[in-house]
Amino acid sequence: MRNKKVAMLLLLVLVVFSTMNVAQVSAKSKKISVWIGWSQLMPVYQEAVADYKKKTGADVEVLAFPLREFERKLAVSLPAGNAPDIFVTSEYIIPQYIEAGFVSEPPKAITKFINSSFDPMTLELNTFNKKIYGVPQIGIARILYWNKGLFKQAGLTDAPKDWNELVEYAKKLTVYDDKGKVVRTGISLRKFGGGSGVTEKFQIFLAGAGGNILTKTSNGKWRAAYNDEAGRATLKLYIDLIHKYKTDSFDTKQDTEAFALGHTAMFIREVWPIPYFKTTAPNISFGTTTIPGKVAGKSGTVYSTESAFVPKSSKNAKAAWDFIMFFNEKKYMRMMLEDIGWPVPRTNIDFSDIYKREPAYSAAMERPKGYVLSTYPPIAPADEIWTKLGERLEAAFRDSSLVDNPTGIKKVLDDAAKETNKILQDNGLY
Amino acid sequence: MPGTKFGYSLKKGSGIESNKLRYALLVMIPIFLLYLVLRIIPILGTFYLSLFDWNLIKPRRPFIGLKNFINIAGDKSFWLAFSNTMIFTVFVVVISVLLALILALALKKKTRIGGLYEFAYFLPVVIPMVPVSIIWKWMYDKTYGIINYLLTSLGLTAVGWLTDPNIALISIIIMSIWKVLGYYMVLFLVGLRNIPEQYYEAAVVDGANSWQVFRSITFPLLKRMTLYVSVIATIQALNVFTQVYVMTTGSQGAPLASVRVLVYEIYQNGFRYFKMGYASAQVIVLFAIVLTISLIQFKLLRTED
Repeated sequence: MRNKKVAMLLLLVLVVFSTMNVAQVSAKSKKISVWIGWSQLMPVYQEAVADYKKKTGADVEVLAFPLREFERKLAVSLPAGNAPDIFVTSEYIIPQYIEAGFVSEPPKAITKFINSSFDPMTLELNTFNKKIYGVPQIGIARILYWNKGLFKQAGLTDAPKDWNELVEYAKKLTVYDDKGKVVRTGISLRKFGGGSGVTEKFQIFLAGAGGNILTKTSNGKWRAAYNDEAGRATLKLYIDLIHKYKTDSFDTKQDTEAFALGHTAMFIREVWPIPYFKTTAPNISFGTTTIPGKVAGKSGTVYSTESAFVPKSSKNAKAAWDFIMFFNEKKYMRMMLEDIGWPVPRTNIDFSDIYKREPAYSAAMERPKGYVLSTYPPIAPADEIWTKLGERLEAAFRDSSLVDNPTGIKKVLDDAAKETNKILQDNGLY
Repeated sequence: MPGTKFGYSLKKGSGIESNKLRYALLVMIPIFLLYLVLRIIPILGTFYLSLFDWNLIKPRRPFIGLKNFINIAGDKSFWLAFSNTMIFTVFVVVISVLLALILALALKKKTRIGGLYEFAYFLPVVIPMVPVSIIWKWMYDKTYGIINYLLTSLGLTAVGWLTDPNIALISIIIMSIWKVLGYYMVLFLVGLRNIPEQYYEAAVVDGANSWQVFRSITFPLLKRMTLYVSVIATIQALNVFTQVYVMTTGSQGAPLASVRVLVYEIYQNGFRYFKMGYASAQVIVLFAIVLTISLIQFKLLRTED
């Protein structure tokens, strides 16, 4: 009798569990799910979701995760077939998923829209094996921020135009206490934290010196390219700014936070700090400009994009593409730039009034003559290469023995290049 | 009692007792199944994965035998993480176990004020590691942290607790000792309070001093608990991850190489680079290290009943 009761109980649990699972799957198929790695974009998505619901009656659920967590969730969910209906990611993350066959191509009408709505660089970055898979949402060029008030105090009127001016200005803008310790840096370089970001900021200056992290060979393979003269000059610039002239420090606040607090006079970032400063540091008077190159008139920056993709596993693919196109309407694209500070690389939307109201944004769109846009290569191990190079660069930035030490600088970059080439080799890309 | 096992009579015909046994086994089946699914199968799966070039995303996953293990042998990043982890483990285990024992000896007698101290030392144990790490990260902040505020108000120089690569690991060690001290102290207190008072009374009568009492009575009778605490402390220390991840990653944090630990290395390979096969091999190596050290501890501290 008791055994029968236990068996009945187990059967009941099984039935309830199965029903829940079916209900969950059923509920999922009626709702469009969207995953993004930038929580700053939520206000725009929320507005679009509300409007879309009014228009179509369809529910859209948008979830934002910290970037690295988002990338990990994607890595687990896409192969398992549990991915959302839409995910937004960058052109250096998506190639591995396209290669593995997890990403669907857009319908022909959407491909036609993409080809007619974006600039050539954005299209090139999002083309894989001559096909476009996602709809670009954001196109980000890194820019230099400079504190106008601190510049004026130092007798400077404009942002630096080349590396010589960058160094001289940084020296004038740095403030020391009576013990000779830096209390305000002339420039806050990205010296540590989140490996690939360190490499990306290094890549910005490298572009300005005419170099690149990787180079593509004639047979379609890749090689480390940063251990050349441009790379050595870039690492020397870092070492000089940090150790030789002591215009940057590991001991002060860093990056955006430092700039908002007035603890640094210059730093390099994407465009999102512009609305961030409006709320956190409204009194700060700052300007933005293109990155100064090694020589005036020859410079560059890093440019990357974020695009919306639909996985092959999506059960709501038609609805997902429909929402993506809805989100790409002028209203939301303008919100992305004006309210959030993420530039949209659309050629058929007029943003000029926004640039007039907020001239700081326009630096991200400027493409002066000789300005190179350095990008991430569309290869699967890009993140590993960038992260591991970043770890080596972090160690090098701390090494004061590299001051006026070209042999040491060469060794650092040659050793790093060996590791990069090994990663490429392991992935059949060398 | 003859003919019994587990206190139950297994003689044929003792229907009520065998029913109880059957019922007990039936109730435990779901737990065993859960353990099998959540522990045993994943562990065996890890051994299996380590023999493949298994990328989370790539569809091709060729069998490569022991190649992952051979690659580990030449992986400088892994051995740096190993070195940092061993330094961390030695310092945390030795200092926390010794300090815990000293505190337990001091609080052995039950008093009201002793109870307050026990509570105060145990409090860090119950707070989750993540919020604790965030709080300590702020305390260690070079510019705004309270520790540097106190140091500078005493005329000393501010320290880059998490930004100086020579100090970052020490900072994590200090925080980790603070976090676990109370737990080991409570365990030692349990062990100490279970030692019969007659032994101490007899020792006093024989004229033994404190050190002789500790060496001849307290420590031998506490060996089992010391073994347990040492093994637990070592396993936990070798698996350090959360505080390293929370306190040192990000643009205001320390260069990771100076605090790179084994579990973080595994995490990077598995969940950043998606090299699951290689990460699994690293897990196996970590498992072997933990097992070896635990066996050594058992050998050294084992008591004979």
